[in-house]
Amino acid sequence: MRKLHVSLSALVVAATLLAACAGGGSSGKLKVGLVTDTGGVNDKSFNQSAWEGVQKAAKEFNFDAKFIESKQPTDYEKNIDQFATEKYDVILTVGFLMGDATAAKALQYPNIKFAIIDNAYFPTKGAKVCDDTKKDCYSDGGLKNVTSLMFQEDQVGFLAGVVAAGVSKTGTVCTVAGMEIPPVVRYVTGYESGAKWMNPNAKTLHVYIPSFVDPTKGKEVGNSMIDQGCDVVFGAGGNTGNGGLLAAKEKGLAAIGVDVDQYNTYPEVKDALVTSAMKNVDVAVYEYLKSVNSKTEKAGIVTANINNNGIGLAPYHDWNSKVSDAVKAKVKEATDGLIKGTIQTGYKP
Amino acid sequence: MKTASGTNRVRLNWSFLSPLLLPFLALVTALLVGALVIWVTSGNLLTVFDAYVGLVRGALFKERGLSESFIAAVPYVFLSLAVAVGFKAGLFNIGVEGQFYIGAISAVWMGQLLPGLPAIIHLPLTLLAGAAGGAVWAAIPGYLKARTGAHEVITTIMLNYVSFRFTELMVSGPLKDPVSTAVQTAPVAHAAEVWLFYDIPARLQDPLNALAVALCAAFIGFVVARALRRRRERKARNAPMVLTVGRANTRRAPTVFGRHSSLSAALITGILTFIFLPLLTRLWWPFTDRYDRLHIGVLFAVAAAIGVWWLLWKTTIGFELRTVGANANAARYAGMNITRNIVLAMAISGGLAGIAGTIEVLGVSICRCLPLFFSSGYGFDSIAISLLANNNPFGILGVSFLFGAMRNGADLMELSSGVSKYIISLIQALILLFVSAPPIIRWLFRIRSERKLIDVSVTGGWGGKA
Repeated sequence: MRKLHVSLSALVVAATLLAACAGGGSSGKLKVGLVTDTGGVNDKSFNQSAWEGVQKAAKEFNFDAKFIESKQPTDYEKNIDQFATEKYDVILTVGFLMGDATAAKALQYPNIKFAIIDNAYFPTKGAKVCDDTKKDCYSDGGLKNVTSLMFQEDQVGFLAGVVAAGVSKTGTVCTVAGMEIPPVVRYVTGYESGAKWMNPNAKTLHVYIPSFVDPTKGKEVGNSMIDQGCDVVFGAGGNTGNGGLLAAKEKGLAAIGVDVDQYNTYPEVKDALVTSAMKNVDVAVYEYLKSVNSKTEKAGIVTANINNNGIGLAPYHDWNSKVSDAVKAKVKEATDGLIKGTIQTGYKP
Repeated sequence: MKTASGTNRVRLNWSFLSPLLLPFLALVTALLVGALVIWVTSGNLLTVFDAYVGLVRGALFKERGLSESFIAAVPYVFLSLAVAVGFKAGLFNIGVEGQFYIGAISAVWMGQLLPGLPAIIHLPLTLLAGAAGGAVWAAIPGYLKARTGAHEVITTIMLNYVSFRFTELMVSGPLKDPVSTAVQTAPVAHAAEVWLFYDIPARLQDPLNALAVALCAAFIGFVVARALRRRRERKARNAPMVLTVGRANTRRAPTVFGRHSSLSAALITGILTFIFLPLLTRLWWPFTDRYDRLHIGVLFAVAAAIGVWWLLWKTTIGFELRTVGANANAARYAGMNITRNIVLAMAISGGLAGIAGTIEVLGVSICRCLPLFFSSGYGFDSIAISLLANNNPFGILGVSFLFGAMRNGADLMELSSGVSKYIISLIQALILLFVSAPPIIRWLFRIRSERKLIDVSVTGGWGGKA
């Protein structure tokens, strides 16, 4: 018993000492925090890409960068708050689903700079953040410290659709889509318009699966669409979409990846992967942090599109020889058309 | 340890703490092993300090840290109580996660139905809907078990998936908010929300809300007064026999209101609360941080723990449940209805789990709605909590807070030391290991086993029968 008492006392003393040296000084570096959504920082997709952008900027501009992974939607607020109370200067949040939490915290901490990927607060469509009477949610609605990093997924989806219809033998192309939220809808709409532009007789199929982390379901849906004649599967839904890619690979068909060059992040399906519809989240994040570093960042929506190379198709890799020059020429034509504005993707917000 | 007198003294003074000694030592040992792991993997002893300081600061001392720990503990309490009720009746309800979802979706449905109701009706109704959803969902495997012998471990796990998919279907289909671009249900009515502590003064300005609080206060007054009276009566009954022969009924100590003392206590507490609480909270209220998410679900959790304790150990229903759990054959021989008891145990268990989901939606979710992707993982942690607490409702309160605090503090730990927050899962697993294998701790700390510091019979409930 005495031994026990001694060890317990020692523990108490140690705990007190620990508490005493809890307060640490800051090094004067700019502190950047990234809150991921429930996908986590190794999701082979946009969370990972965002973190890479942060790391690149941190290295270059000598920032102090950290991330927090969210376990569930109710953690978003808490995790943003974690950075805020630790006196971080810049907080990035990844994903459309964190919109409400980011806005709430941005209003609470007007001196911290926020950037959110994939969520624009304007036009609002009845969102709680600022009502529809506001002309601009950012300057009128009080989100003067928020930058939305948006991507025109419909444009790159369009190009992917052109490629898909070009390599398809059956004339049917399909999408295993994730949750039906604006960025995913943009991908799907663009993809289907692109396929129709390439081949007016092309048949398009898509299924929205209400999850981003369900590859089993994605594969199931992919297989059922393959049974309906689809021979180019576009996986536009994080890990759920990956299931669709796997289905195509196992049937020896073609697949198109999403968000990042999945040839590198998901090498298991590289045989099937024609290309990937990339949105360069890392570049967008890096550019944003660069503007923070030079104190030129602006509140509002920053859109990455085909004009500023914020989006684009990944290299064809193993498929380079299998994609005919005619198709490549059509992709070039579509790219030019999108840049000039002579081609519309069919997406209406 | 050597001197008999010293040991005796300690044992006498601290005997009421002795059931806590082993879990406490398990916690300390787990933290030490965790420290060792951090030290080895990071190669720096200072990282260990940074990590644990960050953990404690994040869980308790940072701004809103303590509140967030309580918030994380609330679902743990309800879900662990759910698991514990199951264990006590000999059932391993591994489906609390699914019942949590069903509770959440039922509550959202009820919370949107009937807008315009006052909180005094709508909030209880919504909680009831959540509880009912969970209860019905859990009663299904209970009935299957009782009637067909289908093992509840299998059926509840399978129903988990059904409930996840069902919730997805409802959220992206019939209950989807038509206005929002996000895939989520419409928010519940303001009156159906679980109150934030910050909001209480404002809420109490509505006399109906004050009435609701007064009714709760009156109920508490009634229960406390009755417990005190019972105690006095027991004392009086234990007085020397000579005095009580033939006059047991008049032996009660005199009180102001005599026979109806409990009712009058309730009345007085209720009226005083109704008149003065709104005023008092207006004048002085400690929760002034409008960003603090602490909600009254914390109070519900404490009430639920007391309620479960009362149900299990103070009522006939509880006695039957525990008897069925301890030995179903003996219970049947004693004339108890096994089917009814198993279904009832599962329903109570599922009801508690449903309330956990309800409170998350009504009190924590930022939109006060159910978003798609409401993954939590609370349900599976709760099985560990329930085992750790030896299925004791009050133990569950403590362990839930511990788990909630660790879950909450883990982020700051990762921020301030770079140690992955998943180390927390390791520490929690170690605690569970040490508690369920007491010889390890006894050997480490040289505690003699015959002292029976704690009676760890956590598996008795579901090992006995299948």
